[in-house]
Amino acid sequence: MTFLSPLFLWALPLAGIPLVLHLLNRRPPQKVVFSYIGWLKEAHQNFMPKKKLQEWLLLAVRTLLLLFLVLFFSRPVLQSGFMRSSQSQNSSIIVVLDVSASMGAVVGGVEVLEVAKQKLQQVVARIPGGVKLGLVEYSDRVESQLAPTAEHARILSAVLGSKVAPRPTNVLPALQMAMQMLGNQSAGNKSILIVSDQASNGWEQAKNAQGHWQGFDPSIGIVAWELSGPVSNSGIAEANLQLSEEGTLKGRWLASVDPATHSNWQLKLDGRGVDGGSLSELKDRSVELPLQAQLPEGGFYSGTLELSPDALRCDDIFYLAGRVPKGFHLLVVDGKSGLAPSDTESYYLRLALESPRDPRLESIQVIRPELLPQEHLANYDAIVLANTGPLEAQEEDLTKWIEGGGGLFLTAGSKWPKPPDVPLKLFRSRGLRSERQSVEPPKPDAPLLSDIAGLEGFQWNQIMVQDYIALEPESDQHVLLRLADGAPLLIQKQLGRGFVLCLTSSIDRSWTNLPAKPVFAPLIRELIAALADPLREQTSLNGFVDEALRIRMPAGVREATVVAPDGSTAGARVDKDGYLVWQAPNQPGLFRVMTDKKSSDFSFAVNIRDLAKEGDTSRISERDLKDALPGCPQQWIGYKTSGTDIVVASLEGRDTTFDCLAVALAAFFAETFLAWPKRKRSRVVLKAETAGAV
Amino acid sequence: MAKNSYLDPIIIAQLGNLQLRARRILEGLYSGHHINLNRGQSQDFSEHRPYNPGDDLKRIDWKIYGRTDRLVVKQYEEQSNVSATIILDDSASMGYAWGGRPSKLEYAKVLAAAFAYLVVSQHDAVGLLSTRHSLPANSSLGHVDRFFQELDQITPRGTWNPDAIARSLGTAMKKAGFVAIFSDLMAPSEPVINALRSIHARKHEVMIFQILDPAERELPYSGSVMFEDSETGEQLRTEPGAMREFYRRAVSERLTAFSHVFRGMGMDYLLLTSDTPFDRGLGAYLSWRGLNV
Repeated sequence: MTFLSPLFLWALPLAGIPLVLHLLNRRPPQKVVFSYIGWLKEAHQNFMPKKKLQEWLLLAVRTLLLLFLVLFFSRPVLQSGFMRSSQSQNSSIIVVLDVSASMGAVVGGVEVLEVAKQKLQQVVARIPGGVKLGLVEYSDRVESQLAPTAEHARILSAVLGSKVAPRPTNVLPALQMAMQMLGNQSAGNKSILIVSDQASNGWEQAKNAQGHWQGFDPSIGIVAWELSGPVSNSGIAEANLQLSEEGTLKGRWLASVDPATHSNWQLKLDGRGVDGGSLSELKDRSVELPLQAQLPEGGFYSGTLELSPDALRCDDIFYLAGRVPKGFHLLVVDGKSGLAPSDTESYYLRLALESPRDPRLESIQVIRPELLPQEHLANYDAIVLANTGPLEAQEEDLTKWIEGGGGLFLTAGSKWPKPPDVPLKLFRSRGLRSERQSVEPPKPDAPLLSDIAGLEGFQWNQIMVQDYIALEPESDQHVLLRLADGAPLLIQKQLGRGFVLCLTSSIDRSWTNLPAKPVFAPLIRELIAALADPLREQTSLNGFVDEALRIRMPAGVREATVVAPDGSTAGARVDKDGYLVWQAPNQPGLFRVMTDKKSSDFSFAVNIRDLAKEGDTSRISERDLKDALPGCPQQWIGYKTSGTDIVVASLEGRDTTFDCLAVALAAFFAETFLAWPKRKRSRVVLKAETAGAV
Repeated sequence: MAKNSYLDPIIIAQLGNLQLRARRILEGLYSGHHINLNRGQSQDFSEHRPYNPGDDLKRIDWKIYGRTDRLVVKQYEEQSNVSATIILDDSASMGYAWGGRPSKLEYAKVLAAAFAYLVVSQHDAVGLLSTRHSLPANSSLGHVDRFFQELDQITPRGTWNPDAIARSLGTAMKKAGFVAIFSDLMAPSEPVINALRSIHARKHEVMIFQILDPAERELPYSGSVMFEDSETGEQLRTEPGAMREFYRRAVSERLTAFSHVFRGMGMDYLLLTSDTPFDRGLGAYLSWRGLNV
């Protein structure tokens, strides 16, 4: 027999209390001279044998009651399982080892996972060779697995080689895997040993599932081993930085605060501290704090938000990366004139950009086509040719300007050249089409459009196009918006380092009602911003472990090398849309993206998802374990319990804790039944003595 | 003060001497029951007196009524025709008292004194017999004083030997008479019953007053108690609280047995506890003597 809470055995002498009281009560009797004891003797002879028997029974029952109460708290386990050699051949144990980020917590100077390894080493050494051992390492998924085998050295080697995974916790997939493994074993004793800090966040899904999953077997014994108790922890839940209208980087971050940790925080960007403070004076457990940094426009940044290290390190650092977008200068060449402002092509364009003014818009210049030769194109980040005719000599300058990285927005109209020409001859026209049509919704992942807020809910069929220019389809162009008949409405085309957008209808209301629709302003703002600054999507270069990142690369970059935080490098290709897709990073930190042009190098940040949950150090209870695995014989081994023999005993033994409680309860009721006449007599005596005193 | 208060043993016990106590009891008894002590059971006619409501109709002289048309009743010379002996148990057990009450012996002595007064006042002779004291029966008033003096000297001591008492009574009472026994009968049953049977066999009218302290019936002790027999010194360690029910049952069975045996033999038996008002005991005697109570 082994005890899961042997500390309570110190209370075992309590079981002797009834005997001690019995002996103490045997004090010298009161002497009374009585008239005649003949009748007393007669009654005494009738009464004493029964009385003696009752007294001894009561003594025994009271001793039993205390003895089994102490045993109940000591949680005895009867060893009758695989330690018997005859049964060991049919026994299988799956060790389910938590390697989630929280297992990297340092308690007493030792990482919890290291503690797990050491203790598991001792447990494995105690398990007979005939017992098959399996291993499932898990975070929020199964990290690795080893099928049950009698070669314990393999399991031990795998355990000793395990590392903390930068992931949150979810025990459910591991339990499913372990039960599946045991399901494949022949009949016999089957147990799962869950070695974890037993943080409650990792059990949420298992508790919700309540065993309603395929392969759940309530006959499998569960031993949950809690390796560490709650620790003091302040952590970062999430953080972000964005360019504000004032041109500074502003953001917020969420912290969970444990006053016991006395944490300070610091925001470091590009190697220098730019913001910081203390969490010590905060009273709330969860707070939102502002971040601010002044960085040059158009430049990449990367850095960390760090807290003073505490026991749980994984949420003490948060990586941040991005690019400060730059403001742009816009030139609008308006090919149509009129008496009223609303007669011009540029009227709705200016409304969209200036009401209210786009913070990124530094200047807007509207000119007639004939004034274009006087403009120095290099002064502009984006140019709009709104319903312009042939531009003759300026077309070559414009093309070079685009190829050098400029962005051109071409809108159709009555002034356009005759088919098949279009301004700058970037496309081939098939001529004017006059047919009232609606607009098809764009694809959810359409370049440039997918990030525009509110677009997904817009009723695109409200936009009606009466006239448009049909263009020849070309392989190097991307259609962003189409009409109902499939004809392109908005086309993107790469040209050197820059690119062109072409709207095949007018930008005023003469050919379409688009400018009157609410989608017009955000659409135009984002399209112009994208033309002016193709990397504007990179204001945030943050991702999460195991989640692919899609990063807009500077124009013309086709290949890059990515250096991971651990120093490993890997090549990466840029897709035809100009994006670098980085598949599922497996570690948090800053990843450096290196291109052939040093000025285009930048970093992206990878963090652990659900840090707020992973940083929550609360633990599950035995009740939670029962909810998650209903019906399974269960054994909870708390972190205060030391000694691996308890774990071994739990794996192979039968928990008799509640049997002890049942015996104690039975003894309690027996005591009540036996002592009832005695208590009744005491009341009678009290009444009689009171009467005598009177 | 209520009538019963005059007869309460605790109050009576506070009075000066035995004589006074006996008188007080009889006064209380008279005032309560209008007892007519002039029974006139003798055959010696004395005189006539006018009939008063309440007189026995048997005693109306119908001849006088026929002659004179007046209702008169016959009166007879009263004479002592009964010799009564009071046997008092003076064993150590009679000295037991609990809860501030008089001891059983005190109670018995007062009752016996009142009893003696009552007997002598009817011109009957009364005597006294205990283990260490004896007074032959006599009906004179001066004898009552000697009776009281003798009664006063009786103290509880030793054991009670009913057989010896029966033999002493045989010597003291040659003629059949009235024997009143005041005892707790707390002794082995058989000798007691045999002795009383032998007394009864001599044609005596026997009246047994068994006097117990209420505590001897209820056993109001608790915890572990070492009981010591007041007469023999024998000891018994037990738990009275736990065995109270058994004791009550044993006492009840014993008392019931006494009652059946004595009444079966034609003796009068009355169980009294030392908190019982005295009139009950005397009332029983008066009923036996055929007086109106």
